[in-house]
Amino acid sequence: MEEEPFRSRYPDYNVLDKWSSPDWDDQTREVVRHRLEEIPPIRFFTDQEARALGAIAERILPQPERMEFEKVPIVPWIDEKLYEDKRDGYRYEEMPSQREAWRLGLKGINETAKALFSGKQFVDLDPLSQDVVLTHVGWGSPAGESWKLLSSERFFRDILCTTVVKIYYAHPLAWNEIGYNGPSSPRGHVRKWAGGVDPWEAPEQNHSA
Amino acid sequence: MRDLSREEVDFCIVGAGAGGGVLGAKLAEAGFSVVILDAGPHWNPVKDFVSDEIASRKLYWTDERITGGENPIELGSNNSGQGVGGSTVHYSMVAMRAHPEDFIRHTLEDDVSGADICDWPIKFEDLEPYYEEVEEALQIAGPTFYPWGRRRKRYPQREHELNASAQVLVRGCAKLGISVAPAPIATLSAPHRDRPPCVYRGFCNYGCTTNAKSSILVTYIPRAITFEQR
Repeated sequence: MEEEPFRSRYPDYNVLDKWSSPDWDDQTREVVRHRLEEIPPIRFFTDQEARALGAIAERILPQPERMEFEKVPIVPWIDEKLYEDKRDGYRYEEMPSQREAWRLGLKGINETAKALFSGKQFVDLDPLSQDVVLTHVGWGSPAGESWKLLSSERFFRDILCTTVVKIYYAHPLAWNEIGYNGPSSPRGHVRKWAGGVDPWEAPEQNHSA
Repeated sequence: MRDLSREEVDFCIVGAGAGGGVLGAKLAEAGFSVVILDAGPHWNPVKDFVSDEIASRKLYWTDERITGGENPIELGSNNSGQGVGGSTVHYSMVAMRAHPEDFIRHTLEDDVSGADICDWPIKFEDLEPYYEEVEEALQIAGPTFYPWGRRRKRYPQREHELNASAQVLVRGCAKLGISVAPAPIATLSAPHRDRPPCVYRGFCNYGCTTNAKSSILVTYIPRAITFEQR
């Protein structure tokens, strides 16, 4: 799979420019500040699990153009959700509760990796091989004892991918790249017609992208 | 905040949402003393609501429901709410009446094999005065002409302007010969008492910070509280 570099249509947009505008009230600024500055420590996952999950997240939502320190953090927020056991209000009957599901899922992904690639751990594979593992997990019948206790498809789509995507797109960098102007409170929108763009929103620049 | 632990009251209601809030207000206005309990806090929209999906999870009831069977329904986090106002704090405000036919489906449609259809024990006419009362209390903003159902009084507030995606739907429906109307919603399109009209932030499902949304929190609950005699 040839990976094309991602090109945002809004390369110059920075949602944080409107930090002090009527678009953001105090509590919104506090939430954004917390998300940017207070990355929680790893308290639920083991080091190994955290590293594996980091590698998995990097395949689900690659951030190749960013240095490590610039990347939108994903693993710490998943870790916090599980450490504090903040649940989603429902789960599928055959699935274990979220803490067990994540532990089993990470274990299962490694089992599948070892089965497919001669005993190697997921983190030690190159990206294309990692994609092969994840494709097996998401759409096939992956090898691994853990998948007897946890539906691989359900884990991959409804838990792993959904959570990674939600966390990624809760970050201002992700808002910038899709030209999303983030929270709007107390100010709302005025130019609600088709193609209408309020002055504080992101103008589209890269039409050929 | 009064300590009510030693007081005797006439009624104790569990849940300060659409059911409990309305019941509490009506009982208070009838002269009874009422305590309403809720699992969550008494929200202050201007300070507590944040326009952020993750941070707004505090509004939802996230105790774990189980979904199963052959085709399990994917549930959501925000089917129910916690806190005063309940799920009306974060629902999408659509305020449509049932149709008269909905109450007599069995009469209209005969039996369906494998299903237990029956008529409601009440008719639309029984609910009609309550629909009117609540639509007035919540100041529902709806279309001047509503193409379906019984002839009705005008909505208390004018319909909201259709946004771009709605206009696409309207054009498509016009080509297909499908009649459309803006949905009546529980959000102000004009000022009402001390609440301003909607400014179209688009974060209705995360709590309205401008109080334009006519949730139970900002309508029936203040009525229940202000009617206190003491």
